[in-house]
Amino acid sequence: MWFLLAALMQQAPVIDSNDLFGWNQYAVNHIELDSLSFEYFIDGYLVGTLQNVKCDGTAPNYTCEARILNLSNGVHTLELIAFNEYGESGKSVPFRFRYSKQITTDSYK
Amino acid sequence: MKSLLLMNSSLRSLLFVGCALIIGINVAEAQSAPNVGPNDNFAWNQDGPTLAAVQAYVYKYYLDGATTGSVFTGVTCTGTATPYSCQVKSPTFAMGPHGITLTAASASGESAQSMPFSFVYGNPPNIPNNIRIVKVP
Repeated sequence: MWFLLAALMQQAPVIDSNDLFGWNQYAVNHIELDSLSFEYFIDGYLVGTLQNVKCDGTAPNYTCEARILNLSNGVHTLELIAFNEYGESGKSVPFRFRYSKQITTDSYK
Repeated sequence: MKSLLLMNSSLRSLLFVGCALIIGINVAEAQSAPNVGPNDNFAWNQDGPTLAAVQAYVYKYYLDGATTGSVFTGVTCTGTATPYSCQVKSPTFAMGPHGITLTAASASGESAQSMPFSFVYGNPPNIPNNIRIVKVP
């Protein structure tokens, strides 16, 4: 059983504090895209609205990126909701990942 | 919230309809047309003799000056005395600005149309998909 759990944990991709989360976002044009905000859920709990989201690409399938701070080490799930003035999308499919805080050189001092 | 009222001369004692939108803001004081999505409700005040009577009325909306009305389905009214509060889930409209008027009808006839209510209809965004990690070197 322990080996199975360990194997499952190994499958989660690893992200560190320097990395970003990316996703695809449908929007008919840049105007609609710019009107969107994103709420994020960690391990099923609403944390807040993503800040400094950057989206690029061409309509209708844009690519967005954002950094999520203050994660604890270990395996988590991330879910996203997009919203605008007309309502909110449903929740995304949960994305499972392992967070590993990057150790800076200063940490060794 | 201030209601926009109408009165029909033939049904003056029976009906009057006020139209406002429940989206958490005071519509009467808004500077521009409110945004409406498929999850929002239209709400209005309805005079009538009893709650059962106003619940039994047939409510129609006239979109953008149309001469033919469409029946609201799923209208629910609440309250203990006139005017009762009625609301209905927004139908789907084309994206963009619109105006609607409402009428209420009973066996005695149909009321005049309410004051126009302006709004901007839009859709909520699609679900974010394909979440992934973007490695930063």
